[in-house]
Amino acid sequence: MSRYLRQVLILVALALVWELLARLGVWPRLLFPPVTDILSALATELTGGEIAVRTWYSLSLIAIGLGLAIVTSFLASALAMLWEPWADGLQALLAVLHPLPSIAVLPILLLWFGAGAHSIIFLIAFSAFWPLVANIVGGLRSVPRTQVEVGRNLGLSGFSLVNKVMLPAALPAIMSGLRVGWARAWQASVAAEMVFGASGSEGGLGWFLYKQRYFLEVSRVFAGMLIIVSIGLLIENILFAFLERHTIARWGMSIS
Amino acid sequence: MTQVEFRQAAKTFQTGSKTVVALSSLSLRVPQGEFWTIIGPSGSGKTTLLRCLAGFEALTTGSVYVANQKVSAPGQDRMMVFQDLDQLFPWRTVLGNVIFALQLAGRGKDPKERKELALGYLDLTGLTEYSHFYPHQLSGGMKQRVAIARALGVKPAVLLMDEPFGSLDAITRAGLQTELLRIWQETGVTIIFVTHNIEEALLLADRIMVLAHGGIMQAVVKNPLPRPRSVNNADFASSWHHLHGLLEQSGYQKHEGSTKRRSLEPRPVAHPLGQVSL
Repeated sequence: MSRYLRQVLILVALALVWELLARLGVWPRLLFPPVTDILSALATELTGGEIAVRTWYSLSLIAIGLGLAIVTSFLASALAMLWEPWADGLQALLAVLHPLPSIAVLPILLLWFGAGAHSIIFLIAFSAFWPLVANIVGGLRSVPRTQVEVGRNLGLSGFSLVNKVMLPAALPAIMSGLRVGWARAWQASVAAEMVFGASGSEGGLGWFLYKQRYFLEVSRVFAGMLIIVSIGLLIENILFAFLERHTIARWGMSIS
Repeated sequence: MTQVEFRQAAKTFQTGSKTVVALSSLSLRVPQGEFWTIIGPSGSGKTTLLRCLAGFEALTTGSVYVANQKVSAPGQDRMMVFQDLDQLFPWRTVLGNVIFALQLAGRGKDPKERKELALGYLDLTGLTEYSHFYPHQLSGGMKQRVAIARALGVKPAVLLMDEPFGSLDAITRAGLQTELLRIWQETGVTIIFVTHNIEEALLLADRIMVLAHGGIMQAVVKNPLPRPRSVNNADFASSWHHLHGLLEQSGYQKHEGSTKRRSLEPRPVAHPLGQVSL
């Protein structure tokens, strides 16, 4: 708890330094607004502005894209345990596509699918899919041999063996995959909207940042960033912490 | 009635250009309800024999039959208890591990009945108070008890034990040997138990099979010691030396050199509990 407190104090101190520098007018206030301006911009946005709608829109795209990535990556990884040629193919694709920054795929997506929500969803799914596959397959491959043999001994084979023994045993690796997948999905959604903006009146947080920069509303740009950071912290410290406490921590499984 | 039968069973492994013989043309019959131990030096094919019987590995030639059924794949009629303390499913409680096995074996008509059955096996193995513990909360000896309860839960024709107490301290090991004998007598299950510990083999088995290098059956010795057994039994030392002699004849020293000799005790030592009942 004291470490947590210390971290908060450091952040508060940095904010004070920021405030001081901004107030002293070291840089133009237009480009470097004080923290208080940022907070009041955030308050205005949250009470009457569009930021809530933008956030909701981004989160809904991420939910769909990440959901697709989770379902397909589980299926692809499970199949890799059952059919060797598939495993080889997946491994080869992983080697080629995992290092590719997802934003680099965007021009092609624009040409193929146009600048709409489905392009963003595809990009989110694509960027979360590969780290998920890498972690799930790695986890499935390192399940203790004895546990797999106990499963076979009890009459399990094929998909039921993967489903009832290997996937739960790989949960620590799956959790880290979900973490990375979530982070990549978030990055992809913001990056995509900043590159090609919104379609019609719809748009997410990336679009919000892009638009506020265009109008030189720097305080609102920072307010948008604060929202992104807060959501990241909430997911990490509440959702993932909750999931881990009730699964792998409770079962004494090491976090890989 | 013969429960387990090996017919001309042989197994070779290919490691690079070298062919390693793990089992050479082994034939034997284990009657229903008997307790057999297999002893032999490291690399004598003890574990391979058990794994072929379990169906985890295929024989190169020959065959194994359990209750007159030819073994071709792993099955619930041959449950293995491993040495590995990680054999329990960590995401299930003690009770959950046993219920899972019961469910896969199709035992109990509903969850309530399965729970009752599972609690019965936990009672049999002395785990009643630990039913809601997760495996990581248990000691090594407790984990092995759960593994035994889970294996018995599917009502196997034969229980295969691959040095199940090999990772435990001497006192826990002695306690579990006594427990295993009680469980064996209560359930009447046929047991094939691999160990490299002569004392353990003598305290547990009806018959002791000595394997030599290359998976050659050196001897099958009927255990002359009356039950309940103890290392203090008048015939214990002579039986021990007899088995030790057989192991030495098996080329143990010649092939193993000095490093692996640690796996055999130099002479019978006092049993930690003095007396093993039954």
